[in-house]
Amino acid sequence: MVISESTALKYERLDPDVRLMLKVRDDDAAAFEELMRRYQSRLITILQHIVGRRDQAEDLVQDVFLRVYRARKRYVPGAKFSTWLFTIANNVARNALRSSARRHEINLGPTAGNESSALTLEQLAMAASGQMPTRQFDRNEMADIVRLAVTSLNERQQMAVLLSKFEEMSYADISQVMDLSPQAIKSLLSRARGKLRKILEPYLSHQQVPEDNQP
Amino acid sequence: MNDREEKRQKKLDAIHEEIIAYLDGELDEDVSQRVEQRLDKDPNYRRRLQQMERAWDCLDALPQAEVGESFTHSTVEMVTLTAEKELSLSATTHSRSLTTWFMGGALTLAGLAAGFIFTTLVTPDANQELLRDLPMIENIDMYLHADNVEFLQKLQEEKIFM
Repeated sequence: MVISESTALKYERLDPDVRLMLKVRDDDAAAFEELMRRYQSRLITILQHIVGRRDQAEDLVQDVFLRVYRARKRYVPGAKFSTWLFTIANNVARNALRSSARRHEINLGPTAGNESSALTLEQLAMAASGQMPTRQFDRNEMADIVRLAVTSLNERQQMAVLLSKFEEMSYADISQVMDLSPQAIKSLLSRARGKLRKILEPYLSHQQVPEDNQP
Repeated sequence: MNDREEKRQKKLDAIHEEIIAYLDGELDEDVSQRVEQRLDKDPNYRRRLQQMERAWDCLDALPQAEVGESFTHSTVEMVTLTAEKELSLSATTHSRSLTTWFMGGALTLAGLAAGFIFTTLVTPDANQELLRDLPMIENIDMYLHADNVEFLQKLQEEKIFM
């Protein structure tokens, strides 16, 4: 895609991270480190939810930054820096999931190896159908329930939901990251959030605010 | 699903999309106002929006990663090492490619030289032909007086006319 000079100048003026990336383009190592500090946790958060494992998410984030470094000389700002970075992250995550599928690896989900996760998707389904005794859930259990609900979404729905929730990205930005139209993102998010509501609603209707959340 | 059910489902999907887009602040001002008016009047619509909002707020319970300095350092180290490796690989490739270019150049020159020699030997040279015919060209006026070539050859054999 050819990026006009006026577009590049606009993003350079508006986005401080674009200015940092332009310094990286000029081989400024400190600027690269600063960008990493700003984005590494955010990237790990998103990728950990997508691939289900912290160590794999960290490897993928390192791959993302390596790609940023390799692409630095060709960098021309055609979007916000975060949009550009998460586009790379989305591609890296998709490739990782594809090669995992090729290797017939079983994705154990985010609960793998996590002893605090006592709930399963079956239990979620039971609760959704009203068969599970209602009780108050503590914060950790609620986090597990939400995590499992998110893993019930497909890969694209997960990415759109996580970018919208954690990065507060607009539909236009998410559409750029995922290479879909804004209308497609609107439908994708609508379906994903409908599914989340369906899974979570039974818990929410009986849920009280956990004690440590009360004022 | 029959046509009627399908239409109903499409309508519900559209309402759902509208509610989500409203919550995400993605609607135009006039559509937003329309949604707000409906929220005032329609308790079902309002309940649906509240459910969506509550479910969305639940995602705040998801843990967010915290990364220590060691991760930053190991990433910088990894990127630096990979970049250095790539640089040295590219230098090797560059030197290999220089050798290849040199060899290619030498072969091309040798080919051109061979071609020149071959062309020189095989193709008749117009200048050489002119040089060979020079005596005849110089005496063309005299040759024109002769009736035929055999007569001239006879004169030459008897060394009467050179």
